[in-house]
Amino acid sequence: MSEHTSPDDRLNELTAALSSEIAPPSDLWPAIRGELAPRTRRTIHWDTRWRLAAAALLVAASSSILTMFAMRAREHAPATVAVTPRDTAPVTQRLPAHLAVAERGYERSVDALWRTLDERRDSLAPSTVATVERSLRIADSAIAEARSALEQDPSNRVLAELFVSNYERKIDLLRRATELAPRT
Amino acid sequence: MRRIVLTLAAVAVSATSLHAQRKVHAAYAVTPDVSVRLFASVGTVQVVGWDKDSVVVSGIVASGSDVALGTPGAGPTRGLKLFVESPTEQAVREGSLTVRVPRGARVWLKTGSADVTAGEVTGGLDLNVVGGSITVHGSPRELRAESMDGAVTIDGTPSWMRVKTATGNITLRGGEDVGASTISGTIDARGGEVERVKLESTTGAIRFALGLTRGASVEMETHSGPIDVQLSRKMQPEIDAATVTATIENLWSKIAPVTGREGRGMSLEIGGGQMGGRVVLRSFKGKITVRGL
Amino acid sequence: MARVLSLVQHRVSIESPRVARRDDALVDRARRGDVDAFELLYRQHAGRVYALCLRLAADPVVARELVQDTFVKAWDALPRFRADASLTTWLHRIAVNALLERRRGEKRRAARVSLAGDEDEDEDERDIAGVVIGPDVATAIDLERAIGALPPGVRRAFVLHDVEGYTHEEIATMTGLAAGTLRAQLHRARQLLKRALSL
Repeated sequence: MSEHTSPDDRLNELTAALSSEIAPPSDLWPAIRGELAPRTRRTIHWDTRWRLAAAALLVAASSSILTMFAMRAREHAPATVAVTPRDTAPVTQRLPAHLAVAERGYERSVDALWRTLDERRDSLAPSTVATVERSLRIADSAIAEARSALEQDPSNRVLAELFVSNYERKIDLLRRATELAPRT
Repeated sequence: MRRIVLTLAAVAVSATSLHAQRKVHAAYAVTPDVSVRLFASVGTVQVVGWDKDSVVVSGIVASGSDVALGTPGAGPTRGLKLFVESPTEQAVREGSLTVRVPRGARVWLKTGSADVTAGEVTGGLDLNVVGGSITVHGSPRELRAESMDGAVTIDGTPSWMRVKTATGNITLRGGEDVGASTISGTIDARGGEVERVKLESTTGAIRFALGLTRGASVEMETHSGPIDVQLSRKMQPEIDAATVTATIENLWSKIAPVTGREGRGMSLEIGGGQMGGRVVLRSFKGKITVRGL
Repeated sequence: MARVLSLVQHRVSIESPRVARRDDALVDRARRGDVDAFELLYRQHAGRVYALCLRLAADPVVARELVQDTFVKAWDALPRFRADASLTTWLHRIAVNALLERRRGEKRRAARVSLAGDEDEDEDERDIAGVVIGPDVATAIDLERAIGALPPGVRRAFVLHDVEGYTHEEIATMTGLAAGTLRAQLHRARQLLKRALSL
């Protein structure tokens, strides 16, 4: 600094010499990326619902096709060939009425809890959101499997218990997720 | 011309650090059955029951933490609300609190990522943690412990207990009325006795080796997690096990499990003694094993 | 004064047309949900955003959180980005908002009962001489630390105006500060810095 430079000028020189960029911590981008989910945050919701709906459609479609084949086989079978009741019975049934009613109630609860969770999602830590989503995928997979098996065997009480339990665990998880504290 | 990018460590940190720590200490005269509600955004929380009619909060929090305690009244109070919030995630990790309460107190605690330990409380504990672990020593009359990720270990025998996680593992020693539920964590129940118990896991394994009281009621259920049950032959419980697609192995008696319709799944039914209690085991596709204790 | 302006203006508007066109393409892709494109935007602009946040917050932990908030909010707000300002300026506005929201939240919490040991601070009245500075650095303290030791409001004004080169009008839009208040804060910042640097 020359003896002729004023304090203001000197401050300006020092200020101008400050770097315009400072490298942020290298692990910052992964943390940011983990929080970018809001743009696609409904994916898991729709993905889940799609899977359940798709599973139901798949079961219905395949059962319709199999039923059609079974009926055609019956029409074209020679009179002397014995067709056991098992071969001609419809392959799948719908859910028993009481479980269908229960499922509608569960899905209403799930919808309401999802709406609340979506509203509060930004206040949850990314790791918490990841845990909840991962757990919900597991729950949905179990529900879909139990439901599919139940449609094949609607009178199976063990299956009915498992189907109901899986739904109740899912709803409990959603409820707990909505009650979680803001991100800490 | 672009300036050279600098990687600064602490050059721009204020001369006064925002994360110096400061001690916390507060004491209140309370009734023996005081209700304490604590929201703590810190790294560790200890809840300790003692033989004094007072609540003492002590610990370390980061400077800049928000600490709010109820205002002490003229006489012993029946209810306290405590609030500690740390300003940053690093500050959260650095904070720790110890809360001493009368043994008969009822404590409700909600925290984000703290590791929580509680002991010597015989009243009630309601512990809610998102990412931290929960460890409870002793036997409160009522215990509710919920964690998403963290492990829950109950090293006592509460009269009434409900434990829930999403992915955290659960370890229990028994109690009178016990419920444990997880999505993908494991449940390990051993070392004590139980009267009524329901254990559920969607994909995690359940391992059970608790003694049964007379007339005990035991239910276990998974979707795909294996169930391994060890039972005392002394009690002669009735056993009802069924799977949809998995196998059942009976190492407890000579009765063979029966294969289900179309060769899928199995079932096992074993009659029990008069006061042996009832054990119901269900799984969609997790293997069930029953063996002697 | 002209020299001051030329030094300050050197820092602003450094995005060349080529950089701006590249940004446009990445912004378009990021708007459609392309996270990789957003990462490239991050890599391009994070250094300037972090520099701003670090100087505004004077705390690397808070600065990190501000940068994180800034880019997450930017991702959400990208569909509304109109390119009437450069992307850097737009990101800076988001960062300043994030800082101000944080300060407002801290003020709300300050209304709660605090344990003894907390000292009230009137942020704009704190004298830099009251900040702990050891005798060995009293004459050698460098500018970054001196900026970090400024009271928050004064620091904000200096960083946005003198370091980043925003005009009074732009700062008023970002912060809601009246022109007179900004001028007073800038004057105070320079007085404190000259004293701290023994100029």
